[in-house]
Amino acid sequence: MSGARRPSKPLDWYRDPDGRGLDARLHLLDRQMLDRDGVPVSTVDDAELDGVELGEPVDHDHPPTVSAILVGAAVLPRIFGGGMPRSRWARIGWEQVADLDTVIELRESAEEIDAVWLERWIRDRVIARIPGGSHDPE
Amino acid sequence: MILSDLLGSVVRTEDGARLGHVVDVRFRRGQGRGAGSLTLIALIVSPHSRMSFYGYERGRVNGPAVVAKAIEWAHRRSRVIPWECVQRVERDAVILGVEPPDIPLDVRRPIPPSQ
Repeated sequence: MSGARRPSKPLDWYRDPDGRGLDARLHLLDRQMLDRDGVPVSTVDDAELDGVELGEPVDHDHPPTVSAILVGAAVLPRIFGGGMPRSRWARIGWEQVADLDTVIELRESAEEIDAVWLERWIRDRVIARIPGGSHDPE
Repeated sequence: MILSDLLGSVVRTEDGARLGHVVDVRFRRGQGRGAGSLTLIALIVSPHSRMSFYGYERGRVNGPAVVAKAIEWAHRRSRVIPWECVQRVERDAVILGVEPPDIPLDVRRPIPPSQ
């Protein structure tokens, strides 16, 4: 394990000269996710990082990577401050991400994704029972 | 740890000097299945503002001119701090272990020589 050190790359590399960089707020958070059939699933509320923990020394031999996209009720903490309890986040493993562009494409079908069960439940149990709620507008 | 533990944190040097807030986190796309892995390479730190400004502060977007100027002013002297300089992350604070090089976020500004 190695601790903090001077940068190992040329300094301009950190300014992303080759376009392989991705800034979390600019390119990831709040992006729309589509399932494998192009159906909108949800948006990215947060991301789980593997390889770094609060209060522990950072190991620079193994830099942190994104391990999952987190979905949950992120609006309230943004307005009132504070954070969501970890148990309230639903995660979509990064291995399920097929492509990352102006939208994020997933490998799964929306019907199989546990993270959006609440939306499915509301659709099937509430919206569908409203007259006209079970078919497209005519 | 989750991303929002980093965003908005204060960045301090080992001797307690405050460099600003983390306004964004920079990853690098790797090779691999699907979208490829995302490895954390740097923090984007603003000494004056906690807000992200959706690309304006990076010097690649310049219109409308009034908005671009206002945001450029709010994020003046924003910089990129390589992740390798970080010693540990605490709740609401990132503690650096070495003096970070001066890498301006705005790509139009050159990196000072002799670092």
